[in-house]
Amino acid sequence: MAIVDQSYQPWSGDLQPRRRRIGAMVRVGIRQAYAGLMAKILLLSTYLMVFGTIGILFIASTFQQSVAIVSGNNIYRFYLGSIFPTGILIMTLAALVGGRSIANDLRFNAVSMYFSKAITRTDYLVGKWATVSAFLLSGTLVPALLLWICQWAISREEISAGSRAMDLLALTGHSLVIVLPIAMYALALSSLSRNAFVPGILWVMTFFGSIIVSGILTERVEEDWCKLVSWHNLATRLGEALYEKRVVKVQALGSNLMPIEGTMPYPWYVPAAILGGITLVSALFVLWRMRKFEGQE
Amino acid sequence: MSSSAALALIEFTARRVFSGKRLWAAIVLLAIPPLVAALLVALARQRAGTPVHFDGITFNLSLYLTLVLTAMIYGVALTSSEIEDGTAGYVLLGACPRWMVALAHVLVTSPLLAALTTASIAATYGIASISPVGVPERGPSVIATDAFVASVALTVYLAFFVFCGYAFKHNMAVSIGTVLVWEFIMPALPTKFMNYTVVMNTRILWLHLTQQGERGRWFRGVVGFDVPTYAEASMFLSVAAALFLTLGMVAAMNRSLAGREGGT
Amino acid sequence: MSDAVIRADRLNKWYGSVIALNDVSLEIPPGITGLLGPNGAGKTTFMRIAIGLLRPSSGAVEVAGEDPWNNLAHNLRTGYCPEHDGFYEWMTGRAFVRWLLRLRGRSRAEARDGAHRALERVRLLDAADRAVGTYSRGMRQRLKIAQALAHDAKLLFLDEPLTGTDPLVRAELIDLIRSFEREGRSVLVSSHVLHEIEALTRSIVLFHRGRLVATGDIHEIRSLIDRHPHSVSVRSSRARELAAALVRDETVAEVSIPAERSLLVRTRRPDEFYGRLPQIALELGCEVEEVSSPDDNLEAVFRYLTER
Repeated sequence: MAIVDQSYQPWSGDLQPRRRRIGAMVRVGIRQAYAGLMAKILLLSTYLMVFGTIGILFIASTFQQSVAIVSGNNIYRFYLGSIFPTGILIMTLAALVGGRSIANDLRFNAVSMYFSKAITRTDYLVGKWATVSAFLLSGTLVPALLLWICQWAISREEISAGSRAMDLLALTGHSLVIVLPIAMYALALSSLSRNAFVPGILWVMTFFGSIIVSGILTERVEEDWCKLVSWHNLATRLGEALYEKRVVKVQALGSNLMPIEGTMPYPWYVPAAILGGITLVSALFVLWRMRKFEGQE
Repeated sequence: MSSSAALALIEFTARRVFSGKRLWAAIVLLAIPPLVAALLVALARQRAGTPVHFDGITFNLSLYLTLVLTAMIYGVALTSSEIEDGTAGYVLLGACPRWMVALAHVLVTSPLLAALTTASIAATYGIASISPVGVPERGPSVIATDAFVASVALTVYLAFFVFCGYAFKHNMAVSIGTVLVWEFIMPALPTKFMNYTVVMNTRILWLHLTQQGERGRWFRGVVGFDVPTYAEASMFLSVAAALFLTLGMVAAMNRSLAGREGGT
Repeated sequence: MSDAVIRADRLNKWYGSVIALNDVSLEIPPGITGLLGPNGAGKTTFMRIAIGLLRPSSGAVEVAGEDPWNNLAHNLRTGYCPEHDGFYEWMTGRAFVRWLLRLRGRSRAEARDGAHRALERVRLLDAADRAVGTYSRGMRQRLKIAQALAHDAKLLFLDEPLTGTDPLVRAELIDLIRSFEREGRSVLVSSHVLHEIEALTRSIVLFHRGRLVATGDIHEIRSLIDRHPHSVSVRSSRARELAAALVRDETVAEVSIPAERSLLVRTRRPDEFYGRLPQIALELGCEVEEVSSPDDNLEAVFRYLTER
């Protein structure tokens, strides 16, 4: 006797658009990222620096003093462009969250689960990229926005509304320039291993190593192209190009960890091309690594 | 405890150094100093007056970036990864006492990693020597000295990672976080705390063994306080290695492996 | 019992605010003993304490008269098959078992022979030289059992050894475990499936939410179920009429109507009731659409035992 009815009715309805499916991935990923204690501590550390900067701004405004690092758009360039602590913290966050993003899916056989649903490799990549980027933006863009609001509220500088709007766009762009290539590169490394800490270490090697190697080359070779070796320099140069050129210069504070204006005499499209190339190659690499999972049940 | 079991433990620990993706990651790391040397040599040939300086590469890369990261890759793999993967229990339920397992992790892995590091240093030396002013006048003996210094640092790091792996529940976060902050960032900051880092003391050891203690252009960022002496650096590293080894053995003897965390 | 292989005395284990084992005192005799309980009952925790991987928060446990913690002699006479997979995926099955034998002090030759025998015993020789990463679930289970018995352990701890195996493999493993007792080994095997344990042994220990609920013969436990009223759910278009007829029957203790066309019957004599039901329905001319028993499971046993 054939079984003709098992009281099961297949679902019939409209499939949600891709953006919602990707959005579901991103929501879960971000919740997971924020669940870690170390991630929370590191994020909190970025805000400590922001609060310190706001403190300087407040004191400067109270005593009607002009302090270079909190004047004009330097306040954002100082926060977003410094190696320490922002650069190091973002590096560590990317190692932590980006490094385990795909690695954990490989480890716990979750990749097949994604591709057994109506999700393509591209959706998976975009979802992961958005997850890591969103998380890193909470350590870059959100604090910078806080600085923007506080500067508007506290600073006695006369800054026009147009300039403030330009600053807002610039700091947003600067944050994206920092975060997007890092997120994609971290994903590429993450797709290499099931152990989350190996991609993390390779990312630290890339970021920190590029700074050290750039320093060695700059000292020995004394040519401008040596600065292009440093990932941090690339992002800083590209970010710098987004800001309005206003009068106040950043004063070098005597430490080679602080950003110094005009250190890379290359037009913005050179670092843009390098970072864009890294992002594109990383994306293609992830898609290539994921190809065997797509279409599996 | 049987000698056969101890031998099996040693063999397996040694085998794990040369297996898996971590070896490739370590090779990539250890290839950085020779690659930088090669780049400088190529530029020196194109451009007269470009110094290569093996010592500079050793100071900034071999004894800093590559050393710390290589130690991190293997240090985490020794205990934290084993516990997370669920394979740690097999070793701890063997015929070797737990303290011996912890000891073997460090004392077997350390010389093997030192050998890999020596290969990296030797390759850097070989490439740098192509340039007329690339290598020190002391000759190839500097390779052995640098290798010795690196192996001391590796022992301290590995002992630390083994200790953290057995002592803490969130061992990866604790060990990696501590090393990132204390060994990566602290040596770059001009504060007295840098004197209490393994990187700094390793460099001091190197300074006295290879540079006759002459600071010259080294430690230019250190202003306003003294760097450790050779005796202080030696003592710091010895005490650190002994301390973490002992703590690691004690932690191993007291480590419980719960179900989900450890699998087995 | 003086010849107990495992003795626990007021054993407690907690993880923060979660109590995994709560004041457990028991003695496990030689032979095969089944450790039963739903997920989260404390079976794995108890096993890991007894094997020496976990320390109790308080209380004591003795295995063959000795504390298992940091005890090399204990490690050599016990074998453990863990619940979760934990392998070096790049190793072959043979290399894995051989390595573990060498870790337990065997020479190379002894390890080689011992690994071969153990893998032959669990019927894994064909795949012995393949990487563990290529093994199926059943093969992994067999490999875990092979490494547990390879060093001729006298006491085996098998944590859910049948989970995830297909019926053929399950039958083979049950035969294998039963053979251990014939060889004079003692086995503590855990499961949350009653009939799996039934196939292995009559002696069981029941855990529930970290507490020891019952120990003893399995048939005593089953008979407790039989004395406790069984619930039987009956679906019929003439439920009320059927209920009126059933309530007069001597096998029925109680009848309720939870929903239209549905009856819930409680009976102390389920076997007799199942025989009477069709008869009553036939006499009434009433169609019975569905008969099921929400009670016939381990959960019901525990519910009964914990509410007693």
